[in-house]
Amino acid sequence: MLERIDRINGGRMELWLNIRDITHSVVEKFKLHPLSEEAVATYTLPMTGRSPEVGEMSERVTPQAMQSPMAIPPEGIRKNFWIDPRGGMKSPHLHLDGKIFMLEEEVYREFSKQLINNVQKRISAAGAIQFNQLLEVSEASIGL
Amino acid sequence: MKYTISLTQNCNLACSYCYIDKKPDVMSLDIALEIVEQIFAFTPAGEVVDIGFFGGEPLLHFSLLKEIVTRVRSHPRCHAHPIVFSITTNGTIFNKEIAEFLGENEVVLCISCDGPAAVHDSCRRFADGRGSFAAVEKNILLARKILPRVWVNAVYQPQTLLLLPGVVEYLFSLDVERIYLNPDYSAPWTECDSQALAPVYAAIGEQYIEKISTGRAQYVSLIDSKLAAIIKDGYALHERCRMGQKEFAFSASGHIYPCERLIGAGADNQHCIGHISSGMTKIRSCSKIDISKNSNSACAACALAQYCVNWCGCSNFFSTGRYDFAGPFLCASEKAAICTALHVFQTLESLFGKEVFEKIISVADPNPLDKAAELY
Repeated sequence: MLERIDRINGGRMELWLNIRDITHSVVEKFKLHPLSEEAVATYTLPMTGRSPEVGEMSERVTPQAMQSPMAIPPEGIRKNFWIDPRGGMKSPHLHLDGKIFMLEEEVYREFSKQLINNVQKRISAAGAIQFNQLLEVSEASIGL
Repeated sequence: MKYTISLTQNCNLACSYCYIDKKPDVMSLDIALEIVEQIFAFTPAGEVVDIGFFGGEPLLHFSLLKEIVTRVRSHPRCHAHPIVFSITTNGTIFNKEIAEFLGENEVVLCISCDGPAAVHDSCRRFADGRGSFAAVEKNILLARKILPRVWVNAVYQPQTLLLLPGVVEYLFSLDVERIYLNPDYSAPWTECDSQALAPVYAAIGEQYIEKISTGRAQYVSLIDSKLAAIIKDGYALHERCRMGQKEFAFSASGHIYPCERLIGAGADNQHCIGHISSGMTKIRSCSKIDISKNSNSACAACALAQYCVNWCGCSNFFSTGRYDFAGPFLCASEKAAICTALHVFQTLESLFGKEVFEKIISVADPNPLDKAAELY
């Protein structure tokens, strides 16, 4: 079922692969339990719809829609709603090995701390392209 | 798959920074219909067909645009794909009829507006020298009344960089759904300009925080795209430039390019990779394009590379003359934007706790135009 939900709601793997190490450490540290597939399916899963801030809420994806091999919205829905390829679960959660883990405040803090530390370290170690390199680039481009 | 259709390279404006090689040619209906056929033949079933109308000024030829949209919607293979339409316009040619058609056909409207009158009219003028601000502002307000989704694209240059927070404040006041801030990469940016980026972006970050804190969140590309990159620890492969592979642009004459910004740019039609009459399967490979890496050695060693758009082939071309070689201004801009986004994230987190995800996600939903943020 999770695979079908992914197909309806857009890609998921790419989102979390890069922070797998952080996710894994948080799941291990707090011994989190994954949501059951049934629980996942109860979340709102917008396939098409206007964004909430402009008014009209999304069409809900029905169980029948999730069974559809192509997960293509019926013509009536597509005609009347903007495509919104966002996923459905807006509450903080993590994906790991095909499982979904909800985040309580304490767990979120740990996850966030690791995420921010990671970015801060990268900023400190960042390099820079110097402006005098432009001349070098121009000369290199002549040979192309 | 992303396809951009340039209905014409003609335009009723003469913006000082325009890179389009203006020509009076208009796409024929035959060429347009062939493009529609090729799009459906080339796109794998189930994959999104993202069609953008571009120019020149596409609304100079609204009837052709209508015909294309209608043909796409009635195509036998239309139901095998989610369809996304968008149009980028200078906002001077607009009326209720156009707005209603765009709304009925779910065409996302993106209007170019560089900010308040003094900023906008310094570059975006009619051929006779008159500023276009008054017409553009009127039409944005009209569009806001009729359409649920109105986006604005603002270009900034060295001479308007310091005015950017004022530009954002003005664009916030228009209450558009999304604000895209795009530097003119071809401008003569200096090291001095790059040093001004951090405080300017930081000021925009503070405006963004204030906006979202008061419950009036609006998407600002400079902030939201980097928030997304931070949360995901980098751009996913499918979000990066796919020029000439999953992104194609068609000129009015039916020539095919790897990106709409490269139509007519450069010498001797150097970016052209084929013609629609030969079919999408026979396009010339972009031998100089390797989107998997940036050739600048400074990028390879940079710890921020995964959060950076140094893979944007057209931005690189306009800054350095090479698709695969990022320039110093892009580098400085990306670093300043990442630092700003991190500060925004930490501040919002201190205000909203774990609900920061929901706050950010409600704004930074995926953009069918730049694929910058696929968060949930």
